[in-house]
Amino acid sequence: MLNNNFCSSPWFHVRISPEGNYRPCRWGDQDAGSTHNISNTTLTEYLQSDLMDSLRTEMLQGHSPKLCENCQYEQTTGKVSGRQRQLLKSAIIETEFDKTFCASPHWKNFEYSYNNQGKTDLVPCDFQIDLGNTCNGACIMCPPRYSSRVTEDHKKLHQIEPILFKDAPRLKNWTNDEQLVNKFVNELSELPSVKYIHFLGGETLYMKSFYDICNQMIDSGLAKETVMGTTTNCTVYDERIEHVIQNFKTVHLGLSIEAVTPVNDYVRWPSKIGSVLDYVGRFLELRKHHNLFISLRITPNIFSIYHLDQMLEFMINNQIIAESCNILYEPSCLRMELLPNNLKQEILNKLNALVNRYNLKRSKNQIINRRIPEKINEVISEVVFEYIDFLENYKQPDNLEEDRQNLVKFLNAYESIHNNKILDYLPEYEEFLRSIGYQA
Amino acid sequence: MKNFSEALATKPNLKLTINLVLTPIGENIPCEVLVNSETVFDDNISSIQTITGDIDLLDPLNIQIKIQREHPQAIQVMLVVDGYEVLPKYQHHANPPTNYIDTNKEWSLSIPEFYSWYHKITGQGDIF
Repeated sequence: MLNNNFCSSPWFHVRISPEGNYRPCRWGDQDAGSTHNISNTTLTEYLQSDLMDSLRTEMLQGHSPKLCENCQYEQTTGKVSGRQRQLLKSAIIETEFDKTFCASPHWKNFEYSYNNQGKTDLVPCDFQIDLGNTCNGACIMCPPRYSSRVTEDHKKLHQIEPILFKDAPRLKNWTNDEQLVNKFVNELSELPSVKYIHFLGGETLYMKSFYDICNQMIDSGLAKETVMGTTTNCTVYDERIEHVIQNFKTVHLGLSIEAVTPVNDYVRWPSKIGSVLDYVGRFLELRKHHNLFISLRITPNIFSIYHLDQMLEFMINNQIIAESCNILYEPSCLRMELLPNNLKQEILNKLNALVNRYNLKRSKNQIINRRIPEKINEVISEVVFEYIDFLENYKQPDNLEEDRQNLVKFLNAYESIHNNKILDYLPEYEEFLRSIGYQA
Repeated sequence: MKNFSEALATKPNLKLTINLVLTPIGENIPCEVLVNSETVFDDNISSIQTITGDIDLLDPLNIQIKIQREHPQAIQVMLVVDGYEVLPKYQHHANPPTNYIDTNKEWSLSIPEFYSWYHKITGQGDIF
């Protein structure tokens, strides 16, 4: 069905992976069978490629490609999906699909594609650029291709649990090639407009290429017209970010934190929550003086969910919204859905106490664009209720016991190389973890 | 061969429902209401008047209201389109920017195409 599956993203969005390969979507990491790479294909050539023609045709036929499974899952949980956010860029809202689809300023473009085997004459204006996986952190839920440090960890973990941890090859960042970086910025400059560009690492604030690209965009005058987003784990504060923030039209800075307690240090190893919060404070200070919109990019897992109430209270007190890209489902042994009922109920009790303490109300209508400063309080309330609804309604996975056994193996392996113990951070989980065989 | 609309099975002839409520402050106020240059009400108002109707999805919506009031008479306007509140919430888009008409000067609201306009005025972000 068109109203359930259609997404307008393939008409304006392009993603580049850490290796420099093109991808159709920032919310789906699959390559859709592409061999297109930044070295052999321009941004516009990719958007207008046969592969994207096929994707647009699938969209117009109301199909849901495999690429879209993340968004489909998100929508079953009641959270705002990437698809909904991309549709909004075409002024389409799902609750009023027929009318807003027909009234969309992109209608003519959809019609052209329908009549021309998916082709479009549009050029891209919305980008996610994965700069590479250079990272100073080794978050336990992160796949190796997004962190050089996790790649190294997995080489050791593979020796301990070869089935659970694959030995991933070291990745070659496309941004290591200066000529490619220059080519990329030149292509951007030649486009009629760059509405939004999101840079992802690794840890972007730790990467030279991030500053190089931003500075080239500033020097060419492109930055003044561009909304730029990036995400940081808040373990790095490089003063060059201030120059970047001052010179883009607007900067959306996502802070990847899972908890405001030491649980963050365990999950986002080897961060230290004290300095993380110091850096958050510095970003909040910058927000006072510049077009800087800050959001927390939380991806709660079975552990960090326990302190979600404190995270949400931090958001309320500091007027920061939360956005999560996806409900975490990989690694599957870290999914929130593996919680035992008693812990789940404790978490729900804490969240409900937060609702009462701050008199939070459910929104009448779901807020899709959450980056509106005037709506911060409404958005925070919505986020709180989304997690309450998720916890109350999620379905336990069919292979619950297997995933819990894998959780024990996962913890034993990781703790042997990180030299830490989850129970030092979450003593409340002792009964549960012991019951599934955790012995550390 | 089916055209694009037919093939997508979108509803033909999609309409916007208009719900305009006039609340008089005072009695017997001569009032004329035009929607897209067509007079839809022309009478004296002494009690709440509800005017409903529809227009094609992509048509502009132009509302003009002319009253002949004497101090302190006035008319308050509420407008809901397809269930979405337009007035009083977004009264600053009217000319003059109010939903409380207390002059004999013509009051008007012009919406070029409802859903794109509503997207913009509710701050839903750039349309790419």
